Amino acid sequence: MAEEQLVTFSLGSEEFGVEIMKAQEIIRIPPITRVPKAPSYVEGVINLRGNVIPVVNLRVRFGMPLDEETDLSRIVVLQVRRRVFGVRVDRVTEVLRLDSEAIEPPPPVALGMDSSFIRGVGKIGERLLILLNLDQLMGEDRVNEQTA
Amino acid sequence: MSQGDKNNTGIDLEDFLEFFLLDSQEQVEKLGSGLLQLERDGENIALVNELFRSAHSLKGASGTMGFTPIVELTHAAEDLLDKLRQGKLLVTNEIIDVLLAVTDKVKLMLANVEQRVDITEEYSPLKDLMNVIVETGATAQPEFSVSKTAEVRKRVPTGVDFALTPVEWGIMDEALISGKAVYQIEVLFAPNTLMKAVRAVMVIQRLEPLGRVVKILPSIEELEADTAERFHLLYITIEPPEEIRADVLEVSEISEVRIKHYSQSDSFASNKDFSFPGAKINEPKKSVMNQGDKADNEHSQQSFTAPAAADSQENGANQVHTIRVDTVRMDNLINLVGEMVITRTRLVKIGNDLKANNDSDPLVNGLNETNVYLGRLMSDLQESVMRLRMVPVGTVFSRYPRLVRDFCRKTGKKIELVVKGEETELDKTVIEMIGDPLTHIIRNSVDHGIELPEERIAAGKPEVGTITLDAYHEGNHIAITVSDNGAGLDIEKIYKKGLEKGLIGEREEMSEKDIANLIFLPGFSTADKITDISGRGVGMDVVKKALNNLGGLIDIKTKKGEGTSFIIRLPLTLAIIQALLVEVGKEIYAVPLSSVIETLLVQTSEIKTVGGLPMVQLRGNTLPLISLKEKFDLHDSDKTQDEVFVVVVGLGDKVIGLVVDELQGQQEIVIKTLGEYLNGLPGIAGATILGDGKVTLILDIGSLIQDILIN
Repeated sequence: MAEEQLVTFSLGSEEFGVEIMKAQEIIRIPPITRVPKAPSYVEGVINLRGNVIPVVNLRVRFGMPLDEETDLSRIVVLQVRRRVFGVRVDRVTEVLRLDSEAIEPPPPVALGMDSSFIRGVGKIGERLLILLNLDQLMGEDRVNEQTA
Repeated sequence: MSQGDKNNTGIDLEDFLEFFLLDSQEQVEKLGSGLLQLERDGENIALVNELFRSAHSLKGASGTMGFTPIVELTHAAEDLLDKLRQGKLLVTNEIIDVLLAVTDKVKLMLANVEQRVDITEEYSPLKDLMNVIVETGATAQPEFSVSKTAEVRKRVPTGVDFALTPVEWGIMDEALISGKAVYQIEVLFAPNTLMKAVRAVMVIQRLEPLGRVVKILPSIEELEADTAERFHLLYITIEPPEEIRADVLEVSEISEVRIKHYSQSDSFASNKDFSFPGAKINEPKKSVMNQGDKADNEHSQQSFTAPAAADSQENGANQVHTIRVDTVRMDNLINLVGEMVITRTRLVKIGNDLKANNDSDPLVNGLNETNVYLGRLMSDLQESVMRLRMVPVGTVFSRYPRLVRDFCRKTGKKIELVVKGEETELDKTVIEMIGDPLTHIIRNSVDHGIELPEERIAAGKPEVGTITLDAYHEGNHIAITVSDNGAGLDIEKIYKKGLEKGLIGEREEMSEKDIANLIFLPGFSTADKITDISGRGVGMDVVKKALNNLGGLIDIKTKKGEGTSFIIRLPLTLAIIQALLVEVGKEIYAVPLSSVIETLLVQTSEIKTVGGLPMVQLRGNTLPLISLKEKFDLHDSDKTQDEVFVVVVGLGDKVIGLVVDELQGQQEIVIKTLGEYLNGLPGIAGATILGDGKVTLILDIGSLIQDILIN
């Protein structure tokens, strides 16, 4: 494990990375069906070739202000522990290799977002890459049932 | 399409192990339910035979896989069953207890196997106990000498220990199952025979073409050195003993051949010697008569024609031909059919669009006709595929007699469990999920419903209480009822408890039925004392929730002193349904047509609010309404409407109206899960993909109804 291969994408001015093995595909934004009573960060569900998968709006998840959808907006379809879900990102930047030694543990005071989402921070020259902890993105606060 | 396919790289042994586990678990289940039946019907020899067979194939399979503890345990059980089969022991509660304990133990062992760990379960006390029962039972029979049973317990009638390996046991058991006979052949050399090993090899060479020599004792090497006068063979064949004997005698310097029917157990009949002194050839029948106990003649005769063969024939007559298929593959198939249904709806749409433009084009008409035909084929295909997933509900019901029995033994209550409608079929997923809620309800009936015998007699009821478990079709649903003729729910107590816990208001008017339904609220338990049967804090609310998740509903009927019935209604199938599409606030939702009663166009002025709930009068009844727009926080459509559509939906006898903007028509939809992340959202049962490829959510009518009726 000398190096990791990552897919990187951006939200606003921040750049994020996920392990390439967990990224199943990258698609344009299809029609998204809203799901009532779902957690706010779940934007809805989409049809991925006959399977219905949830889509997480990462801006909402990370407490960032919402932005308009652009031509570059994409959904990165991830597979974590055999569960498939998508994350909406502003744009996908590149696929790169990162030396394991260039990865540092998450800073105690994270970059304005919940540090449990962060697995580490990668440095590529001057660029800072936030490596995401995918288990936390969907898994943690499961839908708690509430009656209206 | 499914993720499971990627993992198909397991080695063969793993595959066998899966089959072994499936098969063994099935046999254990069979044993378990059979034993309970036997307890009631101790004379039923056919049943004992069946149990014996189950124990036997369990042993055989475990032997092949090399799970010695299971082999030893089931072997002892087999011995015991064999005693019952021969009437040498009578069926008693104690014996049933022991045998049930064996099934439990084997289940635990199988669990070990499943977890791929060594079998650590301690089983020798149980085994010894069975052996003691077998032995004491046998000594009680005068015609059976103690020494003989002792020999028998060494598995090989003459006391010759072949020291078989599990693999060899497996070979023999397989042979027995496939209807071949296993003989123990004792070959005596003529006095002063030279080169005994060569003779032995010649004997084996004679036998091999007609069967299989499993083991020779002593071994050829030992025979070479040894001065043995005889040797023993274990031989599998379908040839009759007299043929074998004649064959072996053709080898020179063999003075005598004794053939015994080797059986997997100490069957009395199969223990008989078939001895053929060198010179004269007896008819086998005669030799049996000579040696056998006259009373047992018929029995031995029967065994002589290879018991296993007879067994397997018997099996064949009422065998259902089945094939086991991995559920992943089946789900794949169902998924594909689902995709085809979706694609066909697209075709239909294209056809219709074309028709609107070129009405007279014969090609277009041809397309549409073909579409209609395709539709018919598709629904046939769908139905066939769905039927693959249907499993008789009896597979779940079979576990409850044991539950009730154990409880009765523990508490002294007398309860008869009547099981009906086992053949009613339900979707496999539903079957898998229904077990636990049903267990809970039955426990409840057993613990709180049925009274102690004294109380029952005092109340002028029959001493034995009855719990009836029934399953039947009811429209597009399957109903499962659990009814007892016990004390009935204590409505007053429930009411008080409800007040106490603040679940209901002081002055609330409630019908008995409403009060009874309180037990489905979280945290409600009226049990005064906590028993290990029920009342551990997890209550009927869990049951209700589990059933709701399946798209089902639960209802209670109770009458003081006469009993309680729980009625569960479940959807027939989970995968493809007819649905009514409705539009609300620019979103489209699918309402399962099976729950739709009618649709109405209602003037907004007719909607009155009663106690915070919107209602409308419908033919003299009040119909509570749910505004999906409010329920789901949807955007308002731009114009205010004078009229709204109301979809009247019902489940059981509960009816509500859903207020929607538009009705979009009826369509066949394929139910897809929302996935683990979004499962269990209130009001949403799942999703589907429409002809245009967009995802549409399916409403969970059951949860919507229960939601409004409880609040």
